[in-house]
Amino acid sequence: MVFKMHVYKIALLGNKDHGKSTTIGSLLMLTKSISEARIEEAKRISNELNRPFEPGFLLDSFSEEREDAMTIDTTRAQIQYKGKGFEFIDVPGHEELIKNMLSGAAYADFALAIVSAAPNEGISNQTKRHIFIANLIGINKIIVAVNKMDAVNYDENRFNEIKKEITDYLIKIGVKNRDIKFIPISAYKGDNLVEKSSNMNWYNEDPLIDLLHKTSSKKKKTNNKIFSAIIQGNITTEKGELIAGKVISGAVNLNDTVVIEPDDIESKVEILYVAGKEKEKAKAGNEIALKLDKDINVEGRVLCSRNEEIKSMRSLNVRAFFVDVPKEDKLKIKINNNEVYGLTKIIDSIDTSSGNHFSDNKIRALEAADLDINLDKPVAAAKFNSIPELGKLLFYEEGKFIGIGIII
Amino acid sequence: MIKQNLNELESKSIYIIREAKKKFKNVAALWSMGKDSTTMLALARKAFLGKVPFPVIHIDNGIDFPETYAFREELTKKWNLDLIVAKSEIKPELSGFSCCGANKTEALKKLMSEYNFDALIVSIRRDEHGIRAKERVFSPRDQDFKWDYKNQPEEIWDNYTSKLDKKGHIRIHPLLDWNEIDIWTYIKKEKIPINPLYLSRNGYRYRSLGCTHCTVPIKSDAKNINDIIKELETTDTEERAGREQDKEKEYVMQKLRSLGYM
Repeated sequence: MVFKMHVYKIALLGNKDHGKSTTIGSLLMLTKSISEARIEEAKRISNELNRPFEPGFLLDSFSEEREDAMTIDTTRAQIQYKGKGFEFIDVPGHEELIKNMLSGAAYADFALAIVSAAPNEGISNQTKRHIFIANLIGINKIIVAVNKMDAVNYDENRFNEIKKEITDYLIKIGVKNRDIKFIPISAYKGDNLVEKSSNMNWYNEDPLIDLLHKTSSKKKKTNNKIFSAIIQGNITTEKGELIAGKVISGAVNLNDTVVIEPDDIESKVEILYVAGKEKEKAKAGNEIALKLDKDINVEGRVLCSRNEEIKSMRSLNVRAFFVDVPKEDKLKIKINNNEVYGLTKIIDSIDTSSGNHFSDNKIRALEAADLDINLDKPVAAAKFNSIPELGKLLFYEEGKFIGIGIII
Repeated sequence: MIKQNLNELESKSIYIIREAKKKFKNVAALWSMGKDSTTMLALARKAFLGKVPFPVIHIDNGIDFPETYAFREELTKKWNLDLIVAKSEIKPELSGFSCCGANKTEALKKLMSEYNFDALIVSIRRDEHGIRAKERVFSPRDQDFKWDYKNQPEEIWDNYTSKLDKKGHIRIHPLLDWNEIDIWTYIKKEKIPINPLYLSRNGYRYRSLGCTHCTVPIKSDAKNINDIIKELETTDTEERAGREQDKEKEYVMQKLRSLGYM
C-alpha cells in the first residue's frame, strides 16, 4: 500500500470582502469535498443569524466571525481533484492579525490571491503586503484570481488593467514572470471556477481548479546532495540516551561520518533510528534518533556532510519583516533551534506595498528591512536561497514575537 | 475525505511530542481509549523508542462502556503505561454539553493542580469540527482553563510557544493535521490495538466514542479495519454525528473549549 498523497498547501490572500471565502466555499461544494451535513449545518446557522446562505459560511467557524462576518484566525479547507489534494489556508486580512497570517502562510507551497475587479476595489495595499511576505518566506508561485467579473460586465479591459498593476508590482519585488498566473472569475456566479465560463470567451486558459492542479508540483528538492539535520535535543529512551533530530536535506547512512556545525567536529553515526525503528538510512523529512561516536552536547547544532553551503555564522545579512518596531538594537533571535542575541544594524528599509525603498533607514512596522546582524555566538546556518530550512529566523523582544527574517 | 501522506504526518507528530517533553517539566497525556488518543500513544512510543515517558490520564465518570474499561486495563498492561484515573462525577440533573463541561473539567482541574502538570497532550484533530480547525499545535490555557482564541500565539516554521501563564498550562495537539481516514489507515498499517466498540456487532458500531449516556451507534457492517476504511471513503455524514453534546448551537464547541472542556 502506498500512502503518498501530499496535500498542497495554498495560502489564500486578499481582502475579506473581495470574495475569498465565497471562492473557497464554492470550490468545496463544486468538487464535492464537503459533506451534506456540513452544508446543512451552515445553512441552519445562517437561518438562525438571519442572513442568506453564503458558501463562505462553510469556512468561518468562530461565532464572532459568522456574526460579524470577519475572519479572526486561519481556517483550513481541503479539497481533492483529479488525484491531488489541496488545502487552502485562509488568513485574516486585518493588520492586527498579521501574526496569524504568518502562522498560516508559513506552511504554504504556493499562493492564491483573490482581487476584486469591482469599481473602487482592485488590489489593496494590505494584499500587496501579504504577497510581499509570502514571497519573502519562499512562496514564489502565485495565482491571481480577479474576482467579481460579473460586477464589471466581464470587461476584458478591467481585467488587463488589474493584471498590469499587479504584474508590475510582482516583478518589482522579485517574483519571476513565469511564476505568475492571472485568471478572471466570478465566485458568486461560478464563472471559471471548475468550468470555463461562457461569459468570458476572451479568456482562453484553464478554469481555476485546473490551474491549481497544474501549479501543484512536488516542492523543489532542497539540495539533495548535501545531508543536513537540525538537532532537536537529547532524549531519554528505553534504548538509552539518544540525539533527536529532523533530516532537512539529502540522506545519511549508518556509519557515515558527519560534521557537527558550527563546531566543525567530525563524528560517526553509530546507531540510527527512523520513526522509532532501527534503520540503515534516513532521508529528508525523517524524524531520527541517533548515537554519535563522540560524546559532545549537540543541542542547537546542525549535522551535515562536508559542504560549502552550511557554515558557522556569527554575522548575518538578513531581510526582515517586522510586525512591531523593535525598541532596541539588541534582539532575541530564534534560529535553527537556537536562542541567541543579535545586534542589528539597518541597511535598507522597504515599503512592502510598493516595493520601493524608503529614503530614511528606519525600521517600520509591517514593512521590510535589510539588516546586518551580529550574534553573540556562532550558529550553523545557510542562505535562504540555498537551504531554506536553515536560513530562517524569528525576532523577539521582551518575550514578544516581533518579526521574521531570512538570510540573504 | 483526503488520505494524506502518513510518513509526513507521523514525522510531524513525533517532532511535536518530543518538543513537548523537551520544553515542559511535567507533561501528561489524556487518554480516552478512543482511536485518536490510542494512536497518539503509539506515536509517543515511536518518539521515545518504547515506553511512553509521561503519565496517561483517564477522566473516568464511571459510565464508560465495559469494553472501554477492559481495553484500558489490557493496553495499560501491554504497553506498561503510567495510568492515572481521575474520577469525575455525573450530576443526574445535567445532560449534553453541560454534563461534559462540568464534571470532566472539574476532575481535570483538580488533577492538574495536584500533580502540577504544565503541559497536557490532547488528541484533537482539525477535521473533527470547524472550531478545532482554528487551534494551535501548542495552545495556552489560563488557570481557569480558558482558551483565549482571539489572541493565539504565533506558530511559524515549527516554532511552538512555551510561554506559560503562571498558573495555566499548555495544550499540545500532535494530531491536528490528521484526518479521520488517516488515523484508521495508520492504525491498520501499524497494527495499533483498538477498542472493539468501533467494530460492528449486530449491524451497529460506534464511529465516535464517548460515555454510555451520550454516544449513539451508527448502522454499519464494518467488522474490521479494512471495512471501516472503505466505509469512510464513501460516507457523507460527519464523524461526531452520534455525539449528543455536539448537536447544540454551532459555537457550543467554541464555548466549551474556551471554558476548558477539551
